[in-house]
Amino acid sequence: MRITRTAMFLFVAGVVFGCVPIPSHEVTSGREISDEDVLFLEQGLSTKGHVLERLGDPSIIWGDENLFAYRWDVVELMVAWIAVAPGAYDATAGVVDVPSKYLLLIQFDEADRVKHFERTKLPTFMSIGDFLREWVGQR
Amino acid sequence: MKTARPQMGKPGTATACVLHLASLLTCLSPSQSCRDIGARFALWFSGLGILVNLIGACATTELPSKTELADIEASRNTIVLVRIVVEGPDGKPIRPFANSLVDDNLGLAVGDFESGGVPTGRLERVRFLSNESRDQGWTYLVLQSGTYYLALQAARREHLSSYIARFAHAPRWFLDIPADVPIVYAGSLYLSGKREWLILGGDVVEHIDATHAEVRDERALALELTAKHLRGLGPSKTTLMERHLSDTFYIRKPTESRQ
Repeated sequence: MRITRTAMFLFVAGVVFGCVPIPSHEVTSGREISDEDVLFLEQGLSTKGHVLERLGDPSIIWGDENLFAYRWDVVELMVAWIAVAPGAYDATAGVVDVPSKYLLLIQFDEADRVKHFERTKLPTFMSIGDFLREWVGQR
Repeated sequence: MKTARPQMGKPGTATACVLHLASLLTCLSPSQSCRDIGARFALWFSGLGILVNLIGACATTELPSKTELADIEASRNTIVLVRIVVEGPDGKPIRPFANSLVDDNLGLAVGDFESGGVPTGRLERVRFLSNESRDQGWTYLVLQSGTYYLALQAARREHLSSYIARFAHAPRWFLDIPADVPIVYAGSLYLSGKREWLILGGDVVEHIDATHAEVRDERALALELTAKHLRGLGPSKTTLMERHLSDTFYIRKPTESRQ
């Protein structure tokens, strides 16, 4: 009886909320670089000039570390949501994008040949600066 | 290095504001005739709104804090002085900093190492050395040595998050702040813009056009200003900012003192 009353109360006075995740793949910023695009990269062989020729200008140049970063943002998930207030005969709905940030990091040696490279995803709550520091520090 | 502190803002301004607020409070005190609670509430609520606006307008300067000054003296931070001049279609200047400390006639954002150079993330708090310099468009930032991108937008007329996101595509200028310099003058930025008159008086920058923007070297004026308000902090250096049109951001890790 008590549960029924609570449910009735929530239904009349409260808000019913629902959401549905929708897979997506929309590049919203930068140029996406696929795994195939970086097949030409070879450690110790590929030069900076070769990289610029194949991939174009990088998004970020960190001169102190001789590092190029290509950056692109992708919406990989959209969440459609609806909130209904039955008691008020009212409803509202929307779609929220969940973006992901990707980076292709290429570090060169003193002779401007590829030393390290990695295509990676930036952790959600990490700044690019922190990520670059960590990435360079691990190599 | 001398340890003299910069001069504080004009004391008369704060006193005048307090008096103004006090007189407003007296006017708004509930009178005998205001018996209706709803009317009283509405009156007080309106008064509160006016007070908040007045307080915002009264707080016109924000000098470097003691901690910031200590960091500057220890070469960990630098005061970066910038002047922004916006000229309307009629050739008359539109004051870029006239209304508020956070949401002024112009919005500023700075991209740094952490953001990968892109000037998004937060709206920069504008600070001033004096009321006079604020009227003339002078503002300053406290930054570590490194590379930065200063982006500008006209006054905010939308949700804060959308406004901040748009800084990524706003006109921007490259700043290279050298190490071990207490004060850097980064130039005077002359822009053309459109004016929007407000219903209750005053105007804001409705639109800025950076196509013909020019960075001018007014180091004599900058020196005069720093001599007056930042006396004792040491020498200043002029490193003019440059318009950044490329999609590539050059970043340099902020460095501490090289001494």
